[in-house]
Amino acid sequence: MDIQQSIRRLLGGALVSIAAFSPSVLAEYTSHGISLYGEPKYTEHFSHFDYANPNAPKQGELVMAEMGSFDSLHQFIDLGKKPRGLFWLYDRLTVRGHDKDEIKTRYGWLAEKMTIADDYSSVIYALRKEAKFSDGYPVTAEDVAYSLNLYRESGLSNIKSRFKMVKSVEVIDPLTVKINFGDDGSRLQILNSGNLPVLPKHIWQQKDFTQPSLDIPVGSGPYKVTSVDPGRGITYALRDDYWGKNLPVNKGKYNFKNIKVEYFRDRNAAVQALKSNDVNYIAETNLLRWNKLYQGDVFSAGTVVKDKINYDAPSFVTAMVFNLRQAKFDDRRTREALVTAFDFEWLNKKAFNNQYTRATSLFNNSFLAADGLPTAQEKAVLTPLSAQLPAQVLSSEFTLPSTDGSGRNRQNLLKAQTLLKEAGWKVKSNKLVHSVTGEVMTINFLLPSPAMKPAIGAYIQTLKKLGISSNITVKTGTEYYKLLMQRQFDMTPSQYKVRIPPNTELRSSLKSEFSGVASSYNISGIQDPAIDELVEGLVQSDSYADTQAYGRALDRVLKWNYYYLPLWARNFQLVAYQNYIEKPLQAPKYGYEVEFWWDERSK
Amino acid sequence: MKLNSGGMSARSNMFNLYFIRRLLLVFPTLFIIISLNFFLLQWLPGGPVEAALAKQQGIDSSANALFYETDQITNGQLIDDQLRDKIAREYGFDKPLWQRYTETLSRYLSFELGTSYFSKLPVGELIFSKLPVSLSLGFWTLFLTYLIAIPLGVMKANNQGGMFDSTSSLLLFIAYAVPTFIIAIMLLILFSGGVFSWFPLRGLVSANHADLSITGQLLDYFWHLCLPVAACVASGLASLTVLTRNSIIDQMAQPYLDTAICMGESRTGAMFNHVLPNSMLVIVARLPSDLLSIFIGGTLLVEIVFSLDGVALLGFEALLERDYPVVLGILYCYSLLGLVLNLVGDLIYRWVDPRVDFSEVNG
Repeated sequence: MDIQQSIRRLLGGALVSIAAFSPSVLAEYTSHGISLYGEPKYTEHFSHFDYANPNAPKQGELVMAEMGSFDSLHQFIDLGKKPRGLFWLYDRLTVRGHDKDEIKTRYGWLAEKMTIADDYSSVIYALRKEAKFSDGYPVTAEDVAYSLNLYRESGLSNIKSRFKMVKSVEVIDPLTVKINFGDDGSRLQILNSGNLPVLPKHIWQQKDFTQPSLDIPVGSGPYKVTSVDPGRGITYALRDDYWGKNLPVNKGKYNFKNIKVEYFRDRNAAVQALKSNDVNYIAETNLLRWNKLYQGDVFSAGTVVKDKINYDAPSFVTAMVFNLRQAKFDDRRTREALVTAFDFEWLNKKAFNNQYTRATSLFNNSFLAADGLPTAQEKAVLTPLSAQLPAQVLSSEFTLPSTDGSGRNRQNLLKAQTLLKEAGWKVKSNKLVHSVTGEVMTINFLLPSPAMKPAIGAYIQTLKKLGISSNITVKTGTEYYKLLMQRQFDMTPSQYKVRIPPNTELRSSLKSEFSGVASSYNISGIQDPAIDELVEGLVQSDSYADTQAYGRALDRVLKWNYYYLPLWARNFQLVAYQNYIEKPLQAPKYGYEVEFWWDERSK
Repeated sequence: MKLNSGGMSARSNMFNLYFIRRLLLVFPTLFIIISLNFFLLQWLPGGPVEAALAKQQGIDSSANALFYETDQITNGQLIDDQLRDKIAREYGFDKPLWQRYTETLSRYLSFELGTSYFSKLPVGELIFSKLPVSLSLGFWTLFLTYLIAIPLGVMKANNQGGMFDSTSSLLLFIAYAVPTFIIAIMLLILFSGGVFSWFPLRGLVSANHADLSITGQLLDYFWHLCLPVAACVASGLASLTVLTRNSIIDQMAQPYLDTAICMGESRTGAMFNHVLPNSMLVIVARLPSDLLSIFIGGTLLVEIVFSLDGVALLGFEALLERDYPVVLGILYCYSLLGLVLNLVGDLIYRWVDPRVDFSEVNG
């Protein structure tokens, strides 16, 4: 490790190196891991992750209940329904580290070392020579190149997009492979490229990659499939001969001898199975169900643990978005009034036992969420745009209107009324009418499931007091999607989960050019030149400080424009399991990983 | 004698003609049914292309998502027109409607069911793989319903207006009024998990079914069927029982019964020789539609509660996901079966009651 190299790395390749004078020789550095900002937390010869228990016993079994059904074991294409856990069959080039003080870091897994070009135009992975597939064949550079090309041609759409920027793959020798990005390379691209499940070429050469199949896949990963009953269950067994069991990244990981995934069509049946110890683990997604269904002796006696695991990372934010293509939402004060009228505290108390927290920002739980007054860096980003911004962005702190939760929301309603008046709305015979256009304010809510009906129902009652009549349309699945893409709604819930760092997905959901694209995620149809600038700046920033400045600036502009009505953030995961299932004391930052848990029952 | 037999043969000829005509009618009927189904499906909002795109956006269209809201998680990917066109091509949606229609039609005329859009399995194979569940559920439900309902109906008719009649009616109506899936969930919570763990939670057989002896396998099978069949029988019992009871009461009021008793027939004898056969007509008339329900088997919600993958669930999920070949394939088989069973039903009717003369239908 020389000093110059580490300084250069710290500055994210911003320093022009001496070698740049001779274009044929490119400066590069080699490392055991890569972090988006600065250095990886764990050095080359670390013993294990802090959120692993290196002494966890390797025994017992995990029996997970899953909902639905499956009909294919080929997990890398869009077709077919796949069971849970197939990713345990494969190793990737690098593995994500997610300690509480890591933002985005990956460590070598199949790859022992990676060599990164200073201009991020390429990365060279040096594979570990001991890596083997479960059928004894070694994992080679050929397999890596072959897999990557398969994904780019016909892989799952999300894997496909991960490797969209790859220009070419070169096999240098049996254990060395080079991925070229050309001019499109970035630190993030290189980091993401390690998330590549490596497939055995000798198997897939004789199989059709584009068709679903129930053949048992061959991988190099820690588990193998021992039995399959399509639609009903699948059993994985820990491989004794797994080549990578002693790697530091795998210390204290993969502790269950067997993992069974059992499929139920019905939640009630799954919970009954948990009560009678037929399954010992269920992940729940719905808070209301969590409070109602998971009740009974086994829970109160503590034989089944109801665990609400908080995590400290960007989480799903549910927000109601306005359809800004409608003239009635043009005025910022109209939107502010509608946001002000929403009584979140009362709803949280009545419907959710106060278990939700209000989402204040789409970037919640991340270093991109703005608070207080703009910092100097944020001001530097915002000032050039000030002509297109609400005045308060630069001068004031944003707070969402809140209530005491009593259900009497008089203060906020009065404020909303004033705002509506300012925006030119008048109440005529109990209807809110615009004094210039004569348009009557009505709101049509489009919901993807009946689950949100109570929440919106209460809001509708409040809106009635302001003279706004509204109705709810509930559509599910394909029908809902069709209405959403035809933009047939006034307000609709949308879920955001910001990836760190924000990537191109942010363009498609916030930029003007996508507001008219039918299948884009710019559901609300935001068209705001200031936001376009900020999104572009955010996507292109490559240092921590820049990313933060742009992210927080964007957050402020979104908030002060009242482009959405933030509802709640779910920064916890719900999981119920038998009390003999144990987990490490320290949880990883981005949600728990059941691979680090173990079975306490000694066999 | 001669004359009589001549009459008979003329009659059976008429009958054969009728039978052949009915058989020939199957084809145009089937043609109309397929066409109707095809165009009705086109009229649904959103097609397989939208379904596939929605799926890529993380919007779940399965029955699971419909009945048990999951917090929908969309991944905000941009879907470009290229992808849309590619998917449309894949499912043949780049062709004009009439062309898709004629292709579908010619396929079905040669009994070719096609393959599923999303699992890529042949539709025939898919339906066939779900049949054990549906046939089991349907057959045993029907068998038990008839086994219980007819004697019960006779007993109720004999006890008309009495204590037994009114209490059993009350119970039957309660079972009829409570939705089947509620009964199913109640049975599940009572007898397989929460209170008593007497019965298995899901499926048609245990996971270790293959390792059991023949008797063990049979026992295992019936043990799994107890609760779902009970749930289906509970709701289906009322109508057949009441039908039997009322039809018997109706017959018992007829003058011929008094005549028979006056002529020295015992009451029980009269009941079995005259009343029951005559009342059975109404019940036989129901048979074709009851038999048809065997193919679909039980009800969708019972299948969901007990995690039984039957034809009903297959069809329902296919409809939600707009997997047209599967939906059409199931409807096609169902229609074909329905037409055949109707014909069989008419024949049974004639066998039970020779007075029914089909030749006269056609004047």
